[in-house]
Amino acid sequence: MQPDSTLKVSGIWPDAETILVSLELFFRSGGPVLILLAFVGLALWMLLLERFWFRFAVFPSRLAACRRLESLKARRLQSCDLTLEIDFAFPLIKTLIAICPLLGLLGTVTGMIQLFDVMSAKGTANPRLMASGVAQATLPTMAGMTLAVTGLLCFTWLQRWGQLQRNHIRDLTTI
Amino acid sequence: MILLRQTSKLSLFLLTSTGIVFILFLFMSQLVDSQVTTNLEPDAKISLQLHRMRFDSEIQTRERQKPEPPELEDVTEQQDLVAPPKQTLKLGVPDVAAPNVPSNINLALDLGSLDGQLAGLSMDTTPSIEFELTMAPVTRVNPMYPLKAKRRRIEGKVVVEFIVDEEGRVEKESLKFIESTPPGFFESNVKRAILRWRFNPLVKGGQATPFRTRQTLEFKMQS
Repeated sequence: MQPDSTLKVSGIWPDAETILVSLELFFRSGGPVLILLAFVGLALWMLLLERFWFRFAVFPSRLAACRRLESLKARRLQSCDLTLEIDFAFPLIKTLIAICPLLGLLGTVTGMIQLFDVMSAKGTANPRLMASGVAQATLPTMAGMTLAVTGLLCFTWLQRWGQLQRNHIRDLTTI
Repeated sequence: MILLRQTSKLSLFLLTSTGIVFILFLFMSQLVDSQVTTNLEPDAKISLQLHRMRFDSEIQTRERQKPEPPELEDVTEQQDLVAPPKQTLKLGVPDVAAPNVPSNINLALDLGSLDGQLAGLSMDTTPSIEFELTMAPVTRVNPMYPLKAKRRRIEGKVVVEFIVDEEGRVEKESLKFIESTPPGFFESNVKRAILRWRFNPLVKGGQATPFRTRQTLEFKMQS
């Protein structure tokens, strides 16, 4: 399991080569589910970034434009569009966040299956053979957890912000 | 829909998200990677010297002095022409000095013929077994000089009487010490040695018969 190259560590921060080696090792021992998880994380973060972009770059200007409109009718139309856009991709993001731990669980199951295959073939005498199966079982779980936690942090923050903005817009239109 | 509208931004989001996911996975791999990072100061020198310790010393040759073999003088007991013990038989025969006796004289005594005369004597020799003093052992084992005597530089003489059976072996039960000066030093060693002696059996009329014999063993220090 350990790479042959001895990893030199200078101080607290390991150098880039060490990091990359450990990352490669991580992916190799994590199995295929980990790669799938990486793609899911990619999609999730893409959507989250788009939301952040919308929240910081697009939304304030749109809100100001909406405020500048004279007629109440036009303002209502605009505010409806805005409220819809606030919630854009929220269900998808929620789904992806929910999927992450489940995929981790899938990795656990596949890793366990592999482990049992190894055990049925070779017995429990050699722990090193079992170690790969155990790694496949545990690493995707951890990755799924991490992705879900980080995604959930940002997502709840965005959701809260969206809720506030919706109330704000409702106040703006009822005047 | 909006994503499609923002295709210009899409690549940017993709790049940044890959960066973020990459960092996340790096973090995870670092969590998993159980590299023991030892923070060594550069001036801290750890030197392990691995070499075999050699304990060479001068070869000490032990000087062993060979134990001096005790001089064994196998003197065939000088007997009067009467059966032992001499003191009891007052036959008036003068004592003959030992060294004058030629060794090839057959001193066989037929005790059976003397049986009637010797009835009054306390003789524990059975008349059937006759005395044979000329029989020399085929194999003789010299007894060890007893350490106790050697340390005290004691010399001595032991006279043993025993019966040799048909096969030429010394009978253990018959072994008697006629004389031992000084007593208590040489007997056990003599017994141990004598029991390993072998004789030619006495042949009488084509048949091996047991006989009684005596041996005198002298222990002398070589000064």
